[in-house]
Amino acid sequence: MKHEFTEYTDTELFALLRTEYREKAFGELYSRLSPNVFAYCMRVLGSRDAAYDIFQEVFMRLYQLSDRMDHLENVRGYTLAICRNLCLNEKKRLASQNVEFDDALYNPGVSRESERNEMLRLITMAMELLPHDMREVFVLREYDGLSYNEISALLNIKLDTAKVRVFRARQRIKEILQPYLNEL
Amino acid sequence: MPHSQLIHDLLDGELDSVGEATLFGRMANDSELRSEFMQQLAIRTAIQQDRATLVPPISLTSAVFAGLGFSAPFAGAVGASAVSQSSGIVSTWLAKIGVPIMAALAAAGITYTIMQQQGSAQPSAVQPTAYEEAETPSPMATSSKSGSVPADAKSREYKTVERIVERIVERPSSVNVQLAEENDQLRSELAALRSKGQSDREDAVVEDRPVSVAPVEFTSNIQIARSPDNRVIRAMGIQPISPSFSVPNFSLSMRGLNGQAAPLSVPAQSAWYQNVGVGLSYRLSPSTSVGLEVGAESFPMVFQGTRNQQVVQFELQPLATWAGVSYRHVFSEIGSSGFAPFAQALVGGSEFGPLGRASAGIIYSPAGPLQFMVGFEGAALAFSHQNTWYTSTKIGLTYGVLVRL
Repeated sequence: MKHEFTEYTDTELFALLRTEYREKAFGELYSRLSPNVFAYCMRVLGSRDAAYDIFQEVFMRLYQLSDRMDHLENVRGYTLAICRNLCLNEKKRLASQNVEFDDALYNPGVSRESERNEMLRLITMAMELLPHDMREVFVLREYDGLSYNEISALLNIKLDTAKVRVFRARQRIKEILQPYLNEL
Repeated sequence: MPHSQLIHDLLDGELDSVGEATLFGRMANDSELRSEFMQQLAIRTAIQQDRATLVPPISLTSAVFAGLGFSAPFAGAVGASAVSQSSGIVSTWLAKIGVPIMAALAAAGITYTIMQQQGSAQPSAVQPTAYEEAETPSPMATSSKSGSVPADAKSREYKTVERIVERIVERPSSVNVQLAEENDQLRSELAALRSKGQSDREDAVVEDRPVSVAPVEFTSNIQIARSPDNRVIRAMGIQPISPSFSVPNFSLSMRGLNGQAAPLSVPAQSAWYQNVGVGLSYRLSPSTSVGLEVGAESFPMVFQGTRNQQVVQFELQPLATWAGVSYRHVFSEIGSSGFAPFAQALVGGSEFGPLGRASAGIIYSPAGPLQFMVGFEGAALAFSHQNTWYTSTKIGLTYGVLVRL
């Protein structure tokens, strides 16, 4: 047994979810995965309440998954896949309800500085204007820090497709922000 | 490859040295390309700032862990607390004023209960008994059981000490055994007197009435005087062996903690029980005591860590529940004012790491079991993040109540 749970890999921690160390293992997995999942939920979905619900559901399902599987090679990717599927379903549901843009989504309360950052607000609003496929790859790349290979594997698309989508998303955001950027 | 793609590759860290040379060569001669590079860099920087703020709030983390039956970990505390943001004026009032007041009320309640219990066991000297109601000569002027009787005692109304002796016998000691024997003897003498028709003195005999016995040691030489005709006896006084009541060795303390630190941009996590310390101390000597104390308060934490290969500075103020061993030294009383300076140190730990506290101030000890203290206190909490240790310090006032049990 290693001294610190931080020394375990994601796969080892997932296996520990079936043991008496499940609580600590889950805590460590949560600390590693929650920023990615939370950023994805917050930036891909258009509702903070929905993002919170999905966020909880993701980790519930991850934990329940350990009852059925004792080995998971890519825990991070699998978790994001759960998150993505849930978000897609939620977006469909929200689209049918015609939910308005939730401005509070971009004021999560962690830093008051961000609220005053006009640049940040413009970027997040620009992201809202992106098509879903572009916004998704943009979030996975810029917020979750996934490599192009990880993005292609997660979205089940070609590597080049992933690169092109990310590039186009970046260019699209820059175009939207162009009037503001010209003043910099 | 378009120039924009080269810029993205460079910012992604995926541009090789040849590509870098090409890009920088073009940027040196192309102001529009330089401008685009600056714009993309500005967008990346803003996104990185945004990413640093996207941390699940404590309330959400707590909900996840509660849903699984787990307790929320430290990592979940990173970030702001949506709970504390929406706490409103009520919880703010509770945190700053209400809890210390409630602590004081609780201490007063405990004190009242203890005093009530002690009040029901006050020594007989406090409650006048029948024999005290009669004028009695000084014990110094009396003799022992077999001694002589002062002359003025002959003309006075005498009352028996039958019930008093009976109560004292309840104490299982050799003294009491002796007293029981004497009591039996007195009963016999009294019965003999009654059988001889001395009914004129019957009204002087005190009816049975309970006499409370305080936790004091009694001497074996109860001063008893007899009337000249040897028919009526009288108690002259009871002298305690121990000159004072036993000193309570345990004290219960409840105090408010008002430590302050440099303000952070994130709100402090709060709870209704914060900023209060409760302790139990044992008195080693009249001036020193050791004890255990527990409490809860928020500590400001500023630390750095890496997340997604980036160095991020975190700020948070989680609520830390701590416990520790304390040592208190009370110095000599200032005159006879009841005020005495004290110094106290505590070493313990919390869920985040080891903790130390040091305080100094004044203790006021009026008559009774209550003591009041006020002073300055400094606290330091050590915590680690990603194998690096940090400290959080606070300094401020502390004030509270101690109850001697």
